[in-house]
Amino acid sequence: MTMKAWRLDRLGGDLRLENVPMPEVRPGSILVRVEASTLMSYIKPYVEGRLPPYHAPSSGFTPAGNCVGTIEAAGKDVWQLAPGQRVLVSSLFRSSENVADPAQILIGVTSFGPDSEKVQADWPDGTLAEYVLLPASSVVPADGFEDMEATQLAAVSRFVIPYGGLVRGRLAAGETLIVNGATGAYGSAAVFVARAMGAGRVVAAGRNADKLDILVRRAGRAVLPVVLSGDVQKTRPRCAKPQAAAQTSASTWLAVRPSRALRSRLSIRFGVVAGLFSWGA
Amino acid sequence: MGSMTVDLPVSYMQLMINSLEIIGNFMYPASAVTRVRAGSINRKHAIGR
Repeated sequence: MTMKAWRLDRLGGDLRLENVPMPEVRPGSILVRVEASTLMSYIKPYVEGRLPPYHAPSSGFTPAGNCVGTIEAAGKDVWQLAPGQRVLVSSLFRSSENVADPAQILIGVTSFGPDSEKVQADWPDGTLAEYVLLPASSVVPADGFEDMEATQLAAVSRFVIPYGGLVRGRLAAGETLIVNGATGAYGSAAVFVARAMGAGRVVAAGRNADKLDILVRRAGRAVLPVVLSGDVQKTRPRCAKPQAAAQTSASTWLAVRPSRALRSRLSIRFGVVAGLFSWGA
Repeated sequence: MGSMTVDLPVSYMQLMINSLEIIGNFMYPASAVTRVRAGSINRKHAIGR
């Protein structure tokens, strides 16, 4: 049995659609038929090998992590997942070994050091393929989302990452959140997630004014756009009453895509925004 | 959160006087995807309704 899969021989190497053997189900694993794979927003520079922190498997592999699919087969030692179930696949996989520092990888994306490389060697392949073999703990049943198309549901992976940060940062209903990098793939998702979690106001800071306008149209008037020009003196909120922003006291500051300019902005925000608690990058 | 490849210098005095908290965070807990289904977030509010 063979299947089609995108294969990358190394970061910066050749990306080719090839016929490869179908993965064999092993204990603790599930085989998922991929319906829609979520391309990372940074997949182009990633594939081209232009992102130094990323570490791919040493031999060829199938890139990309998150996807929506249906379980084709479940291995031994898998108890509550079964063939036919629709699932969300999360690229984030943490070792279940009860050790001080469990290794983690992003399946199909990267590992993080020596222990993590061992995990990656056992689970090298991602989701740009007809089928993907995964550790059972990396999928979540998609119950309750039957009405959503796979391509729409695949966007969950964009939202769950800022959600993880906002939960960690203890965002509470009614609070004000500042999102730095709000026009990016994860920053824009953070704006919507924060509203869904009950944020009273979201200050959306980004360099692209057109995209900020789209954010406000979609996410509502609770979103206060701030165009970052690189010049602090010229950076003003894009709203009818600029003083409203100056008086805003934010409880949480989410920096999802900080740039080099962040350092200067951060020091100024420290001075301007009282009660700020920032979580940085 | 996010991939930044430069250091992030902070003003210690501002941090201390304002009781600021800085959190580094990678990804999300395993329960995060399930929590959406459990109703922890309101999907209608997310689109400005």
